[in-house]
Amino acid sequence: MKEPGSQKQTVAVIDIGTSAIRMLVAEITPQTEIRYLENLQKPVRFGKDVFTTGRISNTAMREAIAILRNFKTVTESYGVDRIQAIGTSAVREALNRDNFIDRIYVRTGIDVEVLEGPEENRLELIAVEHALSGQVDLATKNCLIVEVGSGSTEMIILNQGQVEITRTLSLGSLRLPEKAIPGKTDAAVMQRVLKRSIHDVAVYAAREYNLDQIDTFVALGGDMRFVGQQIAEKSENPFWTLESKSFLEFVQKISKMTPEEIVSKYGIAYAQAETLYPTLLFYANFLGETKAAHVIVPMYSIRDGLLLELAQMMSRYKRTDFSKQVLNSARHLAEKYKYDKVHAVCVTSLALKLFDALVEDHGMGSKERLLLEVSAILHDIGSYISPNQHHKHSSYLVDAAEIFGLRKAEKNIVSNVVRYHRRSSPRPTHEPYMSLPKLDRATVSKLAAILRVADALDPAHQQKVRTFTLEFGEEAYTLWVPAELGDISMERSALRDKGDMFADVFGVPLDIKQVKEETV
Amino acid sequence: MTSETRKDRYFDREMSWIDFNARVLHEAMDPSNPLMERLKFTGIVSSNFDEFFMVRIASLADTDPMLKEVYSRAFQLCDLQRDDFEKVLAPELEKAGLVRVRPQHLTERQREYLNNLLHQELMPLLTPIAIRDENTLQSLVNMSLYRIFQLTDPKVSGSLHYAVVEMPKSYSRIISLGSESGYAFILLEDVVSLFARELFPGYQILQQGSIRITRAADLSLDEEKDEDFAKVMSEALRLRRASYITRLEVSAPDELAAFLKEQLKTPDHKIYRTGEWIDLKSISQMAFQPIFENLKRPAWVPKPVQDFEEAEDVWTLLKERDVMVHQPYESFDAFLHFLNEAARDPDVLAIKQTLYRAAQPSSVVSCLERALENGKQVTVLVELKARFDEQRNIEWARRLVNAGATVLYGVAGLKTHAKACLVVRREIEGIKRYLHLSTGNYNEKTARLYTDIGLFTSNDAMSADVASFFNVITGFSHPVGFSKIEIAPYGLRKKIERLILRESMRSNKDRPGMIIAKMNSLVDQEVIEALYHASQAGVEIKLNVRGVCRLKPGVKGLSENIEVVSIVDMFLEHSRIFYFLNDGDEEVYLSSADWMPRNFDRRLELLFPVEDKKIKKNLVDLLKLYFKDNIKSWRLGPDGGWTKTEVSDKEKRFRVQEYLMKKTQQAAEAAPKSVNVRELKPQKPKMDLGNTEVKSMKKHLPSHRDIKIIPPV
Repeated sequence: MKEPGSQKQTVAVIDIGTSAIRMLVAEITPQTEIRYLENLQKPVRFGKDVFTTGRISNTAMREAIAILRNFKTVTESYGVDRIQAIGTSAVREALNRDNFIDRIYVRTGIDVEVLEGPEENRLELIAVEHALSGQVDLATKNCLIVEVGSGSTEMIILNQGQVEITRTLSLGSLRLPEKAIPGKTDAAVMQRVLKRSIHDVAVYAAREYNLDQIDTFVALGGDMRFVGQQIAEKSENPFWTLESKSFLEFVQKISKMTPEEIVSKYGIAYAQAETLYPTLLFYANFLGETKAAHVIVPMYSIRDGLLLELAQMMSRYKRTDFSKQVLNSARHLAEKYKYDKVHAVCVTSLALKLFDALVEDHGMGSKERLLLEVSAILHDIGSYISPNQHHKHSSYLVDAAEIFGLRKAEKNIVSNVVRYHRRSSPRPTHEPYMSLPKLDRATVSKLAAILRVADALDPAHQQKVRTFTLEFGEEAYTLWVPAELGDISMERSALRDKGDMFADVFGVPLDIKQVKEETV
Repeated sequence: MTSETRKDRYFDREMSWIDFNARVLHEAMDPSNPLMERLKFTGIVSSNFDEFFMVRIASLADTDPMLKEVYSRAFQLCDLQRDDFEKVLAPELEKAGLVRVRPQHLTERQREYLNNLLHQELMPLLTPIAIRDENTLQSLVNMSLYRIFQLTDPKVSGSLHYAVVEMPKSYSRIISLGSESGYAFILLEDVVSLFARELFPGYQILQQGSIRITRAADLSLDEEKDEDFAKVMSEALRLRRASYITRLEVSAPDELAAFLKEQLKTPDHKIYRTGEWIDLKSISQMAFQPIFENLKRPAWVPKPVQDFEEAEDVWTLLKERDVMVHQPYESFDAFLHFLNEAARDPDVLAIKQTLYRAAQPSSVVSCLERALENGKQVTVLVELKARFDEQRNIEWARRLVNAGATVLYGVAGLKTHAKACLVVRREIEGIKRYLHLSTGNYNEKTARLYTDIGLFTSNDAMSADVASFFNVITGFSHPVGFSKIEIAPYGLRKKIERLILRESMRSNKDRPGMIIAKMNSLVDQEVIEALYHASQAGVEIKLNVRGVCRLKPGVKGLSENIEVVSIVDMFLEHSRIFYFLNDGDEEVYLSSADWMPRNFDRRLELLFPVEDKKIKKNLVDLLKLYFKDNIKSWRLGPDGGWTKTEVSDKEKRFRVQEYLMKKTQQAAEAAPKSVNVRELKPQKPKMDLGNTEVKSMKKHLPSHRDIKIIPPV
């Protein structure tokens, strides 16, 4: 029963994390105004299960279902229009996650989407940008965003506002490096151990990006919001700015307190008190790797990011354009493997041109176009390993890498598209391909077919062909290229090799022809 | 601090509680009170002591050195009450025409009547039990009145037998007898005594008397265990019978008393020898019968809340401003009106409410049932541990579940004492929430007897807080932080301590701070220490504590700036209101919690600010009025003694409850007389422009809601 023409929607976002299930109920408008109605959280102990046995136990599942049923009751009291539920770290890693998600769906009707690290990064970035918008200009900053969770730590590096690196580290307050046990390990030892492992992370990251350049440190997460409430001045904006010094002093103070003392002094839950110190120590050590003089703590979380995204989806008003950040991340990856940039740019542009020309034939949309673009950028990165079988190397490098903003399923498509940019077409014996969902297999074939043609048009990496027109004949499609290109026998031969897949996929062969002077 | 110095800093809790009952007894003995009122007061004293022996005494260990002293003080007071009743109240009642007829004075007709009654109704309910061994008496039911008999078998000389008969609870203890003038009655035990021979055919009755046993009834449920509360409670009710004896009341000759003492192994200090009037609580029920109206105070009819009466609809009203209800001067109907509107309004999505002690039958429960019928989501937190009400509570709980409500039995280990109702409504502007928060229970019966403050508001921040509060008490969520309210057992204690501390810090010679607080009991040592500290910092502290007060006021060097008064009058002072001067930026809070460890640490309680300027001012004025009372006010001295405030002939008499009644009465009379709009106004489709209801049209925005047809009520 909606108000006619109502501009408002009541929505709920649920985040199934490692140590808590949380829900926000809010009213959102297409103008991305958010009015919060409810905020719930209930602790769970998925971490203990998943990080030791790899599975979510039956008890934990039942607990989660009971909590979600209660949450559902709350959503019903507001006549909520839409529930968006996500699972992060522990759910993501649980071997029985599909079973878990199915049981939740059957028992509560809530459809949980497992969020991959990069997607979590995306929501984090939405939350950060929204919190800082109009106050801190990220485009002029080198920024490190960190969120330390119980089971994983997310980090995003923005260089002048562009996503450079994203990482999901298997480190968290419940997943400390060996030797450090919260509550049991002496604070000094814990500090040494953590400092060491975070420095290792920084050193590793430094191969791509030197953390010394970071001037803005943004810390997300409930524990940091707690710190913000304790030591920051009241803030007009939806973020707090802490002096690095006073933050470190506070961490020092916490290090000297037992969980019991923390509970009685600050009135937080015992479970949170227990992991507060290691969590803060993570942040402190990340901060120590940068030259930032402040810690910026947004009051928003990925749940707010989800809400914003839902609001943006209502109207497409001011939709944050993430394709740019995704491509940045892909280019950054390609650079790491010393790709032939000019060739990649050329192939990308040709591939996109083909994609746009063939819209009627492939029926795909902007998401697939983005995947094609990413694939075109990355198709040759395997040459870094060896030119021999480089399509296969490209494929597993993509598998292993993180590309900002792409979900796992999307990245699988990219990995397959680069795999099929040369040599064999997909076959029933190809396991990575066959394990894709049917729809995704079709996407891979169509994108790979296009990419192969585009790649064939630059066989010598000389970028001779930069433009073409496509003629849609009854029997065949024809690529017309300008006469001034001169001899195109190499391109023709390459297309003969690689165009087979195009014919299979689109049902028509593709010829390449040169425009004769007289026909112009 | 050692326990010795601690003892010096606080009054004893049980003694202070007995003192409170002395103040109530004083009302029973005050000849300026109407006779029936005095009877009620004596009934309250008895009822309080019943609870005292069932619950409080149980918290003292048998080895506690204070125990005997507590018993002796309590029984002293009971003596005073008994003597007053026998020598003053009973004769006065008789003079007024309310006569207890002794068996020997029955007329032939009355005797005949009782004989018929006995055989037709009573006999099947009477079960004599022979006392063969100690176990017989050990199994006597808590708080039931028994008649005990010493018998002999004339055929066996020197034989002695004993038997007890329980006075059936289902039968009225007061049996009225036809009388030419006034009201004559006989007590049930006298009827049984009269015809006792028929109960023991073949035996001769040597001696007889009445007895009553009190057992420790503090429920020691394992509240940590997350069990099905409804089930556990039913078991607790059964278990209550078996707990140990804390008091034995005997109205019988010495020999029988000695026999009982031996059989029950009850030490002397727990035995109370009463006279002919045992269990004055049930006797006092006469005062509630519709007879002898001339011996009662004029009945007070709570006045309608003007704002509600005049409002077109409650939602529009509450969007404009907050509304305060002062019970019992103003009527609890305001809340029922609110709930009723919520139950039938098509835009209301959900109602969430706490139910701690509802009346029987409860209009609140009926309203909620109606809401369920209309498809609203109803979430009720029924508290199963309200002392002595468990049986009743379980019944509502099941009724509501059957009607489709989400009924929760509270958080394990914590009694839900907060009183809150949240209504979620979908409006054109979006979701809007409405609140009713109160210091009093959702009980229309006590709402006529207890003074309480209710607050209606639609304040957004407060609504969000209360929504979160419901998530906490239903166990749906952990506390996530509140912006306006505080709740026990989380931040409430700290908040009170911080408010007192802030007052100390902001107090200086030129601008001394001020705290005025009204509550039922002041027991918590940490808060008392904070108040001592504030007093030493020069803060003027005025406390209005009806019942137990452990704080020592006016002690040099400790609490010179603290005064404590207690008002004991016709309405039970029940509201909790706290005022802090805060260097001129005054703050007023209302709360469900007394300043007791129990309320701070083991209950779910609410503290909420009053932000509406007008209401805030009303409450500050109200708090101050209590200290002007010179008729029903008592002052606590540094030595623990309570002194009744005396009024000299020259002084103006001021009785706060009377004043408030008059004031409310005058306001009600001054209000524009209108027909009762709520009942008579036909609810017509509001889009019908041909209708003459032009006035109401203006206030209504056209919305989809307006084309819904609301059937006439």
